[in-house]
Amino acid sequence: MNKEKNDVDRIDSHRIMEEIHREVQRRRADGRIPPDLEHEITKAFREASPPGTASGDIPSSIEQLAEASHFDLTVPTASNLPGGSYVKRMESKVLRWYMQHINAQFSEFGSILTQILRALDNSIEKFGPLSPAKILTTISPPMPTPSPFPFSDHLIKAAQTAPGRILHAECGTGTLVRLLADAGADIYGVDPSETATLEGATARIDTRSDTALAHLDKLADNTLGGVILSGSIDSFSLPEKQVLLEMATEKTRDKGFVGILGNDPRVWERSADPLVLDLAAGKPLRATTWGLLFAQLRLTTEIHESEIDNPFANLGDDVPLSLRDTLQRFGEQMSGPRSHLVLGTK
Amino acid sequence: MVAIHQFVPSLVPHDAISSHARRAQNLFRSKGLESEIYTASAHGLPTKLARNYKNFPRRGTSDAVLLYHLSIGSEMGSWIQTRSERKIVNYHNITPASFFATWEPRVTEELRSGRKQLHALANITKLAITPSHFNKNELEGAGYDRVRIAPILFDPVVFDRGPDRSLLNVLFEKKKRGGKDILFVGRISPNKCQHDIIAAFTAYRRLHDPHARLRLVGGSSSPVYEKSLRTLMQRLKIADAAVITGNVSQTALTAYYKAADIFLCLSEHEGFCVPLLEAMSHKIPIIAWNSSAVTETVDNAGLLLPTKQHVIVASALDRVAQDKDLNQKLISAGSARLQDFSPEKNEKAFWQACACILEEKE
Repeated sequence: MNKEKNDVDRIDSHRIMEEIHREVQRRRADGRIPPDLEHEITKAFREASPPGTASGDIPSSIEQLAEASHFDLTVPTASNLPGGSYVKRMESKVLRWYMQHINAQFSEFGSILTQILRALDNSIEKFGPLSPAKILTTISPPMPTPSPFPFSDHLIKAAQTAPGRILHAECGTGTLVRLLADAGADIYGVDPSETATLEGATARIDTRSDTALAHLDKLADNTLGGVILSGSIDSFSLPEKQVLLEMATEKTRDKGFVGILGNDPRVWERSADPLVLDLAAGKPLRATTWGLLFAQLRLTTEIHESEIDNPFANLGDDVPLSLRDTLQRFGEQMSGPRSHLVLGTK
Repeated sequence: MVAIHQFVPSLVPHDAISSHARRAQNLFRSKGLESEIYTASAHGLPTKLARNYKNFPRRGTSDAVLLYHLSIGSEMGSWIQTRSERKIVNYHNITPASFFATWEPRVTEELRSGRKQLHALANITKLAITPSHFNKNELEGAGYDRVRIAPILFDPVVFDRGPDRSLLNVLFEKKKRGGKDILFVGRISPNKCQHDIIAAFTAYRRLHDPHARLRLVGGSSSPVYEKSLRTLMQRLKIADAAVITGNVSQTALTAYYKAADIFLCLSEHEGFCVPLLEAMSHKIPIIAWNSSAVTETVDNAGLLLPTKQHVIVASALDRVAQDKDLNQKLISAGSARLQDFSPEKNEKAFWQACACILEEKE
């Protein structure tokens, strides 16, 4: 018996799954896997689920209530017992008038309840853009996505151990998506700009047109291996930043990561138009502040910053003192942190 | 005469716990012990198989041991706590209530009550027996200090008891049209995640095998969840390729196994999972989500998935379907793994666990 057990080759699930992952990546890159397939399937389950389970859509929930308020009085009368079917038919005939009476009252109750809920839903709609997704579309000013290259080693390391697909939200034309995909990661990107995502898709990078929050909202919890947020998250107000960060964390599996690839506020303050500075709803946060928000979500955090050294810090005595002071002050203005990568592990 | 009586809240035909209790009864009787099964309800089973637990003698006896099968909260679970006899808890696992919270609140209450009873019994139980390390951890967490692992009792021969011929013919007729037959056996229940199976199957049909078929065999623990699964199948346009069979006879079950090409399990919570052994017995390669006790029951005898991404699961199905070498290795590994659960070994382990209590003086 033991001999037979020893003769059996071990199934190396880990190795086989790695091969399957690579095959899936190849198929995605070739366009053989429609980018929207998984989204379509997930959406179908949400739509097929009753209120309070997987679905959060109020209008469809109200329609389900309306549908459920009507009873079918045609009861099944089949039976395995001799004469059972006859007895059931007779019972259903005798009780029909009673059931109709009850059903009429219940249908009326359901109908009134449905009308109230529809009216409530309409009222809520009139209050305007209450959902975070709608709030985020109104935000000013555009924020450039910092270059990922100074952080490529950290990003690749995080991506290679991610327990599932990685999402880069606001991926632009997909530079980071390509960088990590080339390093073996299973990654896709979304960006609100159709032009940018089309450019990415043309280059066979899995990029889709969507906003970060709207896309995350469509996913079930604990589905992603990692989420990288960049771009306009820097310009969101603090509550909006928190909403997005919380949602990204919810969608990430245990041991997965959430990353912020952001600009340093000091760089932004130096470069942005004063009018934009005054009127902007939000501004970039320092890496350490992001770290604080990550800690509130119980993420294990590591911070990496890209800095520019002051080129005039060590000027020699051969430079006249007054010029040296001016250059050093200028250098101090231009140097310091430019961008950061804040990584939180769930 | 020393007696060991079993208490099962509900006896159901083709149910793993019911079958285990009956085999345990035979085992105890073969050892010369008096042994009866007591239940609160015996759906569709001959009344001679079990007695109503309310008819159990009121006065306890010191030479009797009561073996209580715990998998859900029940009146019987409260009643057993009032008994003075020595007690063994045979823990088959209680599904966490969170799986049912939004689907079947009524069931949630029974599950929560089961957890409470699990804790309440810890201090008044001589021994807990359970089929997996996963369950053992739960028991130890609940305060049980004496836990033995003994597999659930079953006979693989039963798995292969002649198939329903007419059903088998229908299934093989469909097979002639091409496409693989994917199977999962287990109650329709949110923790077993049949919705993930349907999703992965849809991806498999779209990406790899447009003629594939899916069969979800088993009764329902949640009519609401089942209705959603049926709606999901319609929305994904696979209603003609996927079927939820409901409860089936042993012969029909054998027919479904015989027609299956791959057994796919994406369950998130199992205390043991007997259908995995049934699949091994029928020489069907297994693909399973690496979770709860599934991991240790499958051991090396299946392709364990670290993710449930639909596209990845679909590709795993395709790999096992296309890679004949891997397919054969999985089947061989399944047959070898099944030897670990031979009736002789299982009965020996179960008896040894119970015997240590029987030998002890009150």
